[in-house]
Amino acid sequence: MKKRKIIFVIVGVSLVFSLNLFQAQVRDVFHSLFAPVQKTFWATGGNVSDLFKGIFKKDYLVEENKKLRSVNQELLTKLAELEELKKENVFLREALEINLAEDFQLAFATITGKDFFQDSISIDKGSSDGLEEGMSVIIAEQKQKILLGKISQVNKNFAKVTLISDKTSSFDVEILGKEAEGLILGEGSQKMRLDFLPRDKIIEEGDVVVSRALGDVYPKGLLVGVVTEVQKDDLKSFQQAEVSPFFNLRELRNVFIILR
Amino acid sequence: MIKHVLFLILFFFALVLIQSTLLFGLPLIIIAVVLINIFYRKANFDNGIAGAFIGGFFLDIFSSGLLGVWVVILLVLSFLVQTIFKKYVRKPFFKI
Repeated sequence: MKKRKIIFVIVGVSLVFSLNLFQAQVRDVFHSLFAPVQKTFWATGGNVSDLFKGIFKKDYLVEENKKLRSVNQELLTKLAELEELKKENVFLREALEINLAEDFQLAFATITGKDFFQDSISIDKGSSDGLEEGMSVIIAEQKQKILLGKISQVNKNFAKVTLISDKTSSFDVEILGKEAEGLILGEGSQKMRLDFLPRDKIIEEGDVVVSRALGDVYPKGLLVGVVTEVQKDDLKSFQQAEVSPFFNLRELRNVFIILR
Repeated sequence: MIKHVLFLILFFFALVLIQSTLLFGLPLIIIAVVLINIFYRKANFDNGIAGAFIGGFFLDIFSSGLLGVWVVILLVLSFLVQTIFKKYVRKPFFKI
């Protein structure tokens, strides 16, 4: 029995490792299979936290129960579909309002899930839609172009987007209206640190950080985040700041990829 | 045996969907593998090892790294949990 178990483990592990030879195809197949379910789960994700909040509130549950009984199932489904279309419509309208399509050639994609251990997300578009590694990914909210990250892995039908807050991410930025330039370093868990800021510049909480074209990592002028804490140390030749990104991953549904 | 494997595949499929979309801050699959190794081991079929294998594979698919890394990590974790329970925990440990 023990021998059989060891043989099973060795054979199994070897098989899984041998799949690395066709890693892209294997991932593509699984992502294509899971994408429709993942999209639905992701779309309902925002409501889950509210559900947890209310789970111990009796009044909330009674009210919710009444509501659910009174609404016809078919109508609810239709309503949900319309709601999704409305959100997509608002998202695209905002993009139109800020002339996003005039500035860049864009592709539209829907988020399907988040990576377990990194600040990266997967989207439902891949190389078959013209996506390539290194392309910038943005969102349009409140008439602003907000930087989300860049494409780090492209498969035929899906792609991975490494967020600007990922630990592997670093790029040049400037603080709006302060003429102060620095380097943004991802810290993971949707946090970022702004480093190499000249000591003579006065940086304050609430300052807005935007991308610079230097290094050709991201286009110029995209909103990166807002300064939440400034750290000035006499022993260091530069000042640092904690930066919070403009996007809230939990609320995101769709993104734009800058093709050109 | 096939019944157990199918159940584990469905179970981890559901977990991977939840972890990658709704509760991405929680290591649900790792917790599930540990719990299966403690509470759900059968005499004729090692659910713990099978669970580690299936759960690890799903984690690998939805992570960016090399395929097989999480399979190995969860298998090692399963062996550790099983060894600890075999050597240091008296059965039945929920004695009333």
